[in-house]
Amino acid sequence: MMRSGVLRLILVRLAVAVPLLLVISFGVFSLVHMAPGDPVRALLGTRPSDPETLAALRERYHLDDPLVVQYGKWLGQVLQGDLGRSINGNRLVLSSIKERAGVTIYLLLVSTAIVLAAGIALGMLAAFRRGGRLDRFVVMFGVFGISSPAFVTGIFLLYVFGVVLGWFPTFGAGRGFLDRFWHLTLPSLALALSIMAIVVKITRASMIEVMDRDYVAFARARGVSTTRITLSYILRNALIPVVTAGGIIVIGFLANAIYVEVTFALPGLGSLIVDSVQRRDIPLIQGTTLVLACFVVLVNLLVDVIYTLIDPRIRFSRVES
Amino acid sequence: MHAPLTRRLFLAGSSASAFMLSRAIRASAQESVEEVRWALPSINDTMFVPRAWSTYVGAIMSLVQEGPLAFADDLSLTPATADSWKQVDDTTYLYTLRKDVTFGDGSPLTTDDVVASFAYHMDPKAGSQLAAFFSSVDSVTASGENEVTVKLKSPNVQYQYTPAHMAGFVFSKKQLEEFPEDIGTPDALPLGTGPYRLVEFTPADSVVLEARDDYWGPKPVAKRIVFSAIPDRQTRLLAAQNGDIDGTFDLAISDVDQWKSLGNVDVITAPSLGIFMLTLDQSAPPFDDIHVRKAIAYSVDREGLVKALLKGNGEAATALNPPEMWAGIMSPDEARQFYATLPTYQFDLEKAKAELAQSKHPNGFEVTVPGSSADPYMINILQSVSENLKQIGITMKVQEVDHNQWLAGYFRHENLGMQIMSYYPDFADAANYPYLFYASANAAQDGMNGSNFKNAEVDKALEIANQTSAPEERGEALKTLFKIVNEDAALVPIFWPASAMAINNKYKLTGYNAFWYNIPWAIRGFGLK
Repeated sequence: MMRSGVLRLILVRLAVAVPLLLVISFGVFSLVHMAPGDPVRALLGTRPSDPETLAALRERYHLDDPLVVQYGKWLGQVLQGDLGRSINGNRLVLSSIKERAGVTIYLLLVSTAIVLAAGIALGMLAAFRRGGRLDRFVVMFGVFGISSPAFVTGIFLLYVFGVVLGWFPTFGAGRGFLDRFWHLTLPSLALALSIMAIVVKITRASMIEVMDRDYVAFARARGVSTTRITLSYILRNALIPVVTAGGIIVIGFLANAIYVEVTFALPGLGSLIVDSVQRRDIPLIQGTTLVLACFVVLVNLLVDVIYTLIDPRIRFSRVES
Repeated sequence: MHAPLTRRLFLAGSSASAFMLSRAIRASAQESVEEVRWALPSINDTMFVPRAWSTYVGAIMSLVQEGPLAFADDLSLTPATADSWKQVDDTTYLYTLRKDVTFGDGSPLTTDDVVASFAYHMDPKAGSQLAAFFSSVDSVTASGENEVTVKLKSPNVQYQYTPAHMAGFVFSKKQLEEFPEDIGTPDALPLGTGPYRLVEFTPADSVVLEARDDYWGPKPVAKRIVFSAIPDRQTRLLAAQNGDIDGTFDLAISDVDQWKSLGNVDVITAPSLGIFMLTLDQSAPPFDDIHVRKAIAYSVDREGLVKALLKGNGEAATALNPPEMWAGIMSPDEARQFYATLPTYQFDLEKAKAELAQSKHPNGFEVTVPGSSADPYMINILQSVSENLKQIGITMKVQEVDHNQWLAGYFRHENLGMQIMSYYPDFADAANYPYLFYASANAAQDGMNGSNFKNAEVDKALEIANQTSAPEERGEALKTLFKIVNEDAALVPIFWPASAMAINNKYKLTGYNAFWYNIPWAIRGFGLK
């Protein structure tokens, strides 16, 4: 019963995702075309151009076809597993994405680890010391992090830990697992700080709510140890809202990663998107947004599945409906 | 160690060039440096110049690839892989290649490589970004064992520079044929005959070059050069302060003071040969009225802008050509003296008001001017001009748009009104800018003449300057041209900015000039102090 329910959930959501991705890709395609600018001009820069070459370039990238025809050609290619070649640099879009995705995924994983570990711990701490000085400090720290833009936090961290203390490198993504970890510590921290407040606040609020529940009071009365009450009774229940916020957190990371990657000179997907939009590089914009949209759909699906698994109430109501 | 030294001396002697000889001796006196770490604001997705023609790709690839000719420290033409060249007649150029030049993979440079490389740009299907440099070329042929002949469709003086900048880079014909799509990417690292070999390339991140022992020219001092992309200006500064990078090009002039205060780096500046200007579309009101154009010209506080935006690292522009662009015709100082004889519209709001009063729009008008948000100066210039124009009754709205939107708008060539433009040259020739911005042929879509300036006398002068190689004759024609265009206030020159680079103060780079992206800078006076 439970397994088939989850399976059905996954299948239904994946089926819904297909038209959603089509709408997103067509939307982005139209937006790029509506935006003033010209990919061929980005290619040629502030330079006089040879008219024949200009015409050949426009033809190669189908820029003179009507919008729908252009989209159709692109979609036909994608269905055959080919994201095409970028206008700027003539590289396979898929190779560019593969090269860049590594850094971004690493960055997201380390930041998520920091946010979950530090955010939940701080949230718990604040909840236990509710109203106290520590609580106010933690909340203030979170608000400070979320309200200062990631590139400002980034430069600050760079200056303190990169230049003054000299503990971390000032730029680049590093090679190999450990070197990369060393290089990505500061960027991950900058990224984590930009989002941590959400986790801290949600954890704190739901901890406080759960702490006041009858079953917690009952457990205390039964003489269950404080550690067990905190971990199994309070934390487990308090974390449900944190998991549901997981989707928002990951999407927030993606948005902020754009700034962080530029600040720390990391060749990731965020900087790839910024570059491609600046150059109106249509195949590259389409390819990266498609991959990111798939990623967001999958993350949301994953969150819902986890959510369904840890909270039986939702599982049953969803299956019934 | 001995073999390359003797060969170098032999080569230098055989090429009978004192220039080469002095370089070889200077280089041999240098200690070598194991690794130099260089930052650039970005690293492209490909290192194949026809698909990635940018100054940053040039700063890397000028060390890996080279053309038959090169630019010397004084920006004049000098032999490179061709040890001699001559202009046979008005439309024929003959290049004789050196016999000892090899590509990074050891294969010898042949005339076929040169022909294939030039032909690549000339094939519209290839979509080369440098195609325009070959639009005057009719044919390129291997005319002898070591000879390449280039025939032009009609006489064109500007062609002579093409073999010396990025358009002249010679690719390996074999590689072009084997990897037509992927040449220049990590899947097919680009080969060249330059002093360095490209050994590692991570797009958008880094490029590693290794010095070649078998290079025909001077031995590079730095054995390895690692280029890294650092897009953020502040991060680049911190990396230099920390000693994580040894140098970088293309500092924003407004950051120069900050760089100087770091203490461990030297900032080197040189005239960039660039220009910032306003174009005024005289095909439509209100700029069809010469008094309006003069009113605008009088309202630009050039000295103030040089002081405020460039911190003095540049010069207020009195005409289109930076003085150094007159190379081969007159010295920069002579050019300045010549400009002093022209009407140059020094900042004077009273004169501006008087001109406007005489125009068909005595009560002013409204104009919107787009500027690129990516340019460090454009928006600031426009805001300053807008403030001044307000005082004489003209309402100028500044529209900050993204770089591509601004660029595409300018080249669409519709409803131009007032536009701001900046331009940096590929070679120093006095006819280059006037042709781009004043020729009636360029007053069209995809052309640079945003003023829609059309004048038969100017076109005639341009024809002489572009087709005659005698410097005096060209000089006279161009002087006539500058008199006409300045009299007409055909466009409003603003300033000629300097270009700046930073280098760790244990090193020096004496060969830095406006064409840092077109010259093998690491063998032009780079070394330990």
